[in-house]
Amino acid sequence: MKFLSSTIRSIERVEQALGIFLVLAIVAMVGVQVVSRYFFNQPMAWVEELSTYCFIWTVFVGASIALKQDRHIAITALELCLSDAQKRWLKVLIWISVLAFLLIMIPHGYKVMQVEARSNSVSLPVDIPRMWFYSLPLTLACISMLITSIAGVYQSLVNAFNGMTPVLINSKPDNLI
Amino acid sequence: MTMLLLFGLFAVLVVLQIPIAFAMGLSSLAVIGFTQPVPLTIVVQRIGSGLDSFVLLAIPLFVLSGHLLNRGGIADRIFEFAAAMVGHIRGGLAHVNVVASMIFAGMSGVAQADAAGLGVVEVNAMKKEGFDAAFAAAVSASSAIIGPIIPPSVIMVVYAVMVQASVADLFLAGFLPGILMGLTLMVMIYWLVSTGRTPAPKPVPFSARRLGTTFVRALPALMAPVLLTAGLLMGVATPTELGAVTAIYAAILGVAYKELDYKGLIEAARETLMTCGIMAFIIACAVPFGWVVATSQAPMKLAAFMMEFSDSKWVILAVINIGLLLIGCFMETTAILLIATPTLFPLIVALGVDPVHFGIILVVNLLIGTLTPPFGVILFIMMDIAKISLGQMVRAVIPFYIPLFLTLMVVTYWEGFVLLIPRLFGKV
Repeated sequence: MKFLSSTIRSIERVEQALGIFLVLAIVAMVGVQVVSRYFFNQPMAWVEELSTYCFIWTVFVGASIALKQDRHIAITALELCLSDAQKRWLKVLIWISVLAFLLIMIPHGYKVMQVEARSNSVSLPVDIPRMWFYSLPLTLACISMLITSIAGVYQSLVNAFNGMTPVLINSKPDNLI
Repeated sequence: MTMLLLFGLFAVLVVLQIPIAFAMGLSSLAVIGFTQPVPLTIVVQRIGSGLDSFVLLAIPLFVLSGHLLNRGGIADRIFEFAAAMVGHIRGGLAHVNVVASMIFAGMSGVAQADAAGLGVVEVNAMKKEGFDAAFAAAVSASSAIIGPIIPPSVIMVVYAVMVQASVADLFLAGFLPGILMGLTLMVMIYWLVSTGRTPAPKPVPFSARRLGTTFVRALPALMAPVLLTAGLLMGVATPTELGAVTAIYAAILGVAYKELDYKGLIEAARETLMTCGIMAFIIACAVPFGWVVATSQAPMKLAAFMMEFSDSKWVILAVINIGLLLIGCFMETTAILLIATPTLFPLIVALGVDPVHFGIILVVNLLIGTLTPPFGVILFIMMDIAKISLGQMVRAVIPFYIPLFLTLMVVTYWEGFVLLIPRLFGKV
C-alpha cells in the first residue's frame, strides 16, 4: 500500500508539471497566433490545431489529477440520509464503479489507438498519427486513474471493515460553470 | 426505450454519488453494449475526439483570465471605483456589490471564480460597514451569476459548440440580459433598504473627486472589458483569440500592480488545469451520451409529443423553464446543459425559436439553478465566505429570486430584447 500511494504521488507530480506546462503553452500559442495574424498578416493554421491537441491532453491529465484529489463533481445528497457505516460502504461502491468504467475503457482504448495510428493529422507541418491526440492521452489517463482507483477500492474497503473515520465524499463544491 | 434506460441508469448512478463524468461514461457504455449494434470502441472514439474544437479552447483561456484577475488586486480597484460611482445611493455598498460584479462580469466567465474571488472582497466590505452577513452573502451570490451572462462566458461556449451556433453572437446577446439582471437586483435592494426590511448603514455622499481618483486607479483594469467588448462588437477576433488576449493582459496587469509573481502564475495555471480536468472532462464524457440520445430518436418523439400537447411557443417555453428550474435544484449546471441541449434542441428548432435566443434562456435558467437549494453551488461558496448556515443563506436570498425570475421571464418572452445587439453587430 505504501508503495502504491508513493507511486500515485509521483505520477501526480509528473501530471501536474505536464498540465501546467500545457495550459501556459496554450495561452502562449494562441497569443502568438493573434499577433502574427493581426500584426504581420500571417495566419498560422497549424497553431490552431496544435493548441487544440494541447487542450485535449490538458483535460485528460487534469481529469486524472482530479480523481487523485477526489475533486470530480458528484451530487452528494444520498450521504445525508446514511449512517457512518453506510457511508463507508457507499464509498466502496463508488470506487468499484469507477474501476469498472476504467477496466472497460482501457482495452477498447487500445483498439482505437491501433486504428488511429494509421490516420494522420490534418494541417501540422509534420505527419503525426491522430492516435497521439485522441486515444493515447485518454488511454494513458485511464491507466493512471485505474491505479488511483485500485488504491481507492483498497483504502475504502479497509475503512469500511475497520470502521474508520467517515469520509466525506467530494465535500468541496467544485462546480465550474 | 433506449432513452429511458440511459436516463434511468444515469440517474441511479448519480444518486449513488458516482462522479457525474463517470456516471455518463458508464451509462453510455452499458446502453450501447446492451442495445446498440455498434462496438464499444465508439465510446472511446467519441470521448477522445469530443474536445477537438478550437472554439472550446476559449474555456481554459477565460478560466485562466478569471483566476489571474481574481488574484491580481484588480477586484479591489474595481470595487473602489464602483463604490465611488453608486455608493451614495440608499443601500450603499449593496449597490456597489452589484455594479462591481457587472464590471467584473465583463472579463471573467465563471460564476464560481467570481463568487470565490470578488465575492470575498464584497462580503468583507459589506460586513465591515455594518450590513447583515446573510444579506451581504445573498447580494454577492445573486450578483455573481451575472458573470457568465455578460460576456465572456464559459457556459455559452459549451452551448455554442453543441448546437453549432456562433459564440460571438451568444456573447453579444448576453449583454442586455446581464445588465437587466443587475438593474433589477439593485431595484430590489433599494426596496428592501428603503422599507426598512434590511438594516443598512448611511451611504457615503457622492464625491466627484473620489470618482475621478478611483477611476484613474482602476483604468488599466477597466480596459480589459472594454477591449473584449470592442473586439466582440467589431468582430475582429474570434472569442478564443480574445480569451488569449484577456489572459495575457490580466497577467501583465497583475505584474504591473506587483500582485502577481511567478508563483501566483503557476498557481493560476494549476487551478485552470483542475477546472479543465473536472468540467471539460464532463463535456468529453457527455459526447457519447449525447450520441446515444440523438440516435435513439427520442428528442424527435419528444418534440412531436410536445407539439401535439400545445403548439404555442410560449406555453412550451414555460414548461421547459419550469422543468429546468426544478432539475436545477438537484443537478449540477454543466451536466444539465450537456443533457438538456441535445434532448430539447429538435423541439426548439421545430418551434422556430432562434438557437441564440434559446441559449440565453438556458444560461439564465441554469445560473438561477446555482442559487436554489439543496444543490446550489454558489450558495455553498457564499455560506463559506460569510460564515453563515444554509438556512440563513436561503432565507436571505429568497427576495432576490423575484428580480432573477423577472429577468428570466423577459429573456424568455421578449426575443427582440435578447437579439437586439447580435442583430445590430453580429450575424443573426
